[in-house]
Amino acid sequence: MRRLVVVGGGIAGVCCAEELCRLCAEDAVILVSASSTLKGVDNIVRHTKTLEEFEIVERDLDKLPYPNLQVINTAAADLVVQKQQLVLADGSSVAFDHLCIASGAIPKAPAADSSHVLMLRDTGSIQTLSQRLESAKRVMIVGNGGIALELVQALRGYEIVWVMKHSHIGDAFFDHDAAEYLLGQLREPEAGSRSLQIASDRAGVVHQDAHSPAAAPISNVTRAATLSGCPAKPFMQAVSGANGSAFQHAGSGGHSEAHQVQVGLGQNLPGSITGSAISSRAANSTQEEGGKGCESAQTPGKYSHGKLEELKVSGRERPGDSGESHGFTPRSTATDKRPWKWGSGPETEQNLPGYVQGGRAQLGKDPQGHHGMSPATAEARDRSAKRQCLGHAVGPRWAQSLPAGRGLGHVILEHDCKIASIQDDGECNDGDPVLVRLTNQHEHAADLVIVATGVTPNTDWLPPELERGPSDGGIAVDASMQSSVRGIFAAGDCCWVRPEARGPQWFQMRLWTQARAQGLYAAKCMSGQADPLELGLPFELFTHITRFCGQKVVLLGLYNGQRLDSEPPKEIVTYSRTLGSKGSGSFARVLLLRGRLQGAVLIGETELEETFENLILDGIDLSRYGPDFMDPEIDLQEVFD
Amino acid sequence: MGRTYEQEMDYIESIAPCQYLVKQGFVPNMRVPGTFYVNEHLKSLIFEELQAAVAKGGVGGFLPAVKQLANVAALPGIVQKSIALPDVHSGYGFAIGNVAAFDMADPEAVVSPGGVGFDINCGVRLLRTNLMEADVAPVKEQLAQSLFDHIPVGVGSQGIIPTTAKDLEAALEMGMDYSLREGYAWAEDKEHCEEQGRLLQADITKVSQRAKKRGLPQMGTLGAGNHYAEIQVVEEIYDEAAARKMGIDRLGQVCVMIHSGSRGLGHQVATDALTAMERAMARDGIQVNDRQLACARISSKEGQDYLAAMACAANYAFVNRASMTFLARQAFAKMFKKPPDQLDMHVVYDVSHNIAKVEEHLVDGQMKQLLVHRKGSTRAFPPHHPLIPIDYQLTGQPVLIGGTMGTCSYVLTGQPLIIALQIQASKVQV
Repeated sequence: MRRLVVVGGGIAGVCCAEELCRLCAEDAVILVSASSTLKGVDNIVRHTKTLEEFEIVERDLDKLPYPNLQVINTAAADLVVQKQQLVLADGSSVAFDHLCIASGAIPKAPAADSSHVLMLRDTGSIQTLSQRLESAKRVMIVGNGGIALELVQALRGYEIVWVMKHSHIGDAFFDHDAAEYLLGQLREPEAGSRSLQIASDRAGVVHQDAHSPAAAPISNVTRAATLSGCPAKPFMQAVSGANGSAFQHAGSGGHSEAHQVQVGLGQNLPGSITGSAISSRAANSTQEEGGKGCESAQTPGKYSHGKLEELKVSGRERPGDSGESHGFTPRSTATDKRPWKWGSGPETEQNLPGYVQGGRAQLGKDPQGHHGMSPATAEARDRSAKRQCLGHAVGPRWAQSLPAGRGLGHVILEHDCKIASIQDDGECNDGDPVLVRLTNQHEHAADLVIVATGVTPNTDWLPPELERGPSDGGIAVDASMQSSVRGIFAAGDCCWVRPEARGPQWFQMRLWTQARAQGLYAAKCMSGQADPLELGLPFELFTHITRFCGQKVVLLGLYNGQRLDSEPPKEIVTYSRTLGSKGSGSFARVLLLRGRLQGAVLIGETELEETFENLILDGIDLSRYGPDFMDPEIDLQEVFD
Repeated sequence: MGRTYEQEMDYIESIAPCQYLVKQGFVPNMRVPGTFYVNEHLKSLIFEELQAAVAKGGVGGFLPAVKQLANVAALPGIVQKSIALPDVHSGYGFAIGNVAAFDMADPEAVVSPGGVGFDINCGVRLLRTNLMEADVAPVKEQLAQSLFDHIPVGVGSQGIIPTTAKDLEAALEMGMDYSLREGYAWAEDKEHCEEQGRLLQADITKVSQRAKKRGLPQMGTLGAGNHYAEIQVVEEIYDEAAARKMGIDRLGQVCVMIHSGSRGLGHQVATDALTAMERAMARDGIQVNDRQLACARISSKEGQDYLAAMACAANYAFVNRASMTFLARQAFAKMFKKPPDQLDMHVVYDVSHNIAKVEEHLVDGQMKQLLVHRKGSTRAFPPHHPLIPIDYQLTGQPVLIGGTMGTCSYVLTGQPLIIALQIQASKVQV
């Protein structure tokens, strides 16, 4: 009988322990978790071979139905590699034959600290947020990952300043096109039925406009900020222009380049939405500060955006194209300005934080859910999680129960900047706002500063014998999830996957989908039952599924040009199309390298995920199709059946 | 300069109701004519597609189906005609719905992966039950959920039917004999499968590791998109005798239709072969009109390797459908609290629509061994044909035409000279 020990009660750890119990009924499986509430996965829906959607649930450790499982509810404090012993916080130790470290990650602290700063990471901090929101009117949200995106969408009736170091929203996930498509979804006002009605009424008009090149609404606004009230939800409003789809950016005086924003005609934005405006202050930062903004550990070497930021969801680039009648626009992009995200260098990981996914969550089912927790418990857990460095990610649909503010909601977008300082001398009460200065010299008063800017692997407690990744301190693992020490494995947020283990269309992102896949696979490898054929199974293809704004979002492969920095830009092409109207519409974008499909973003019901997964893995030459590849008249599923 | 649409149409001639001939010269090097079967509605689609392609100047993009049909007619070794069945539409190299036969005796004759498609042995299987619509209607939701629960996923990293690399290799080699051995299929299931659910020329050493890797996690899973497992109800019967033979002779009778194939594994087998054949074409000096028609001489190493690997992928697809049959039987048994045999859950038939096989056919009065490529088209042998099961010797081979989700599916029987004769329709219910 072997002793198989797993450290960590998050997704990776629990998935690993559960799988070990199934695979090794003869062995003792010991799960060490600082938190008594374990994260688990339920209601798995397999969309394609590599794409799984699931709900995150909280598992009561007493309820795990495995006779060979023992759960120790204590934090791990140290690891003695030579003795094969795990030292716990209470001083006791646990011997192991094989160990899997799944100790997760901890949120990155902001540059400046203050009692007004709240770091969002785990279930406890969400509870605290709910409490703090009760008395808040002006809220600053810092970050551009999944949490920030959801939060901005969910917080109603607050004045929000949304601070991000990127140039456009959702940068970690989306290119401009996809982000803009989602923005369009966010703009939808509360009166859903009415707006849908308007949307479909306008479809014809919008469509006709499309044929006139001048009709595309472009708003080059310098130094303008329209703020109007919205009774309920701070959605991004399209400034009502002739087409109702101009998106207003307030440019800075210092930059001559225009932010051209053509919001998609295919989105059928109603022109008469009344609501709050988003005023986007374009980067006003001085050069050196802009430089600093790019220096964060998260995105070193990040390409800075081209001078002309051009957002076209449904631009019309092929005059006289007969395919126009479908309202789809295959767009070819092959310029030296890369309009996709040029994410990270080969050694750079994308540390996306405790990122919220699994839109199918059913919190109500779970009486142990964090929302039922008392604030005191939550805070205690928050603290203990920090101390023990074993916090795990926020639960699903966490944003739903946040209280609504009483004011008029609006959102100010501050991009390309970070927090420079927070004026909080300790004298002001919790009731008073703090003044936050950004790296672009703007100042905002805020009752609450919510920080969700990513995570770093929680590996400081581990001995140096375990080799670390160069960029983030994650435990370096090979294609079988094994660290540099034999018999010690790592999975999930705390690990760093060695480049040689990665499939050509896979990259690491600290997501729950990867945590689950790695946890399961680590168990298989620990059990000794992994077949050589399965080697590197979780690293074959990057896939992720989530829901934003109620829409299914599927990310496949190098969907945003990740890992393609060294490729000649002219050999990389993207095509996108937007179909249908709001609610039933969809967005799809593909990225090809030398005619080979590398990745895709699919929003809404496109039914293309399996076809694209197969085409990415096939690597067949699709260059002859050109933009026709995205012709909605062609059923790609059939063509490649 | 390219031809005008009118000039193109000079090569296309109506030769019978619903049948057109594509004359040689429509594309270069046609060895035989092409022909396609369409009704008025499909006809307009075909011609509009051609017209649009002409207007674009015929550069890049998706080739119109009729051009693809003609390009296939230019492949070495093709006999008689390149045939397109309804509703033919553009595919990779070969159009979907294209049937093309190549003379095994001709040393130049080729095999082309494009003529089979990526989802090798994508096919349809029909299960009958002795339940009626009224039995199922009250539990429709639960049954659908139960099918859904069973078919796509299990717990952990494995499906409900656990599969190891060893299982995978056995499945590739043995097809439904593997399912039978493991207890997932009934002995009589095999009788009602094309090729008895196993292609004998399967050689697992010809399947790349990458293909196996892609197939490993997908055994017993359904797939997305146009693949489905569907509960259907008999809505109309056209030929009572044939319907009785198949045991689906009552209006309102409940059936289960499964449409699936070899998925990622088939994709990789096809891709591996396309790559290998591009090299073989250069070596053997094979010229084709379209790069997507990569092919190799049947007798060449590449040709033989592909046929052996394709057989493996086909076997894998048979196992997939057998696994889903098992899961559907489990779901029904659980719901109606009766073992599946008491629910009469027999396989009516299982037929592939993406496959290449060696068959004997009369060509101009001569019996010839042919390699028949069928892509998006189904075999339909007439009564008394030696390759159809005893049960169906008098009716002809059952032919399953799966509807798309939400439209009717049809069960036909093969007839001499006539490709399709409607016998029975089942209406999709769930």
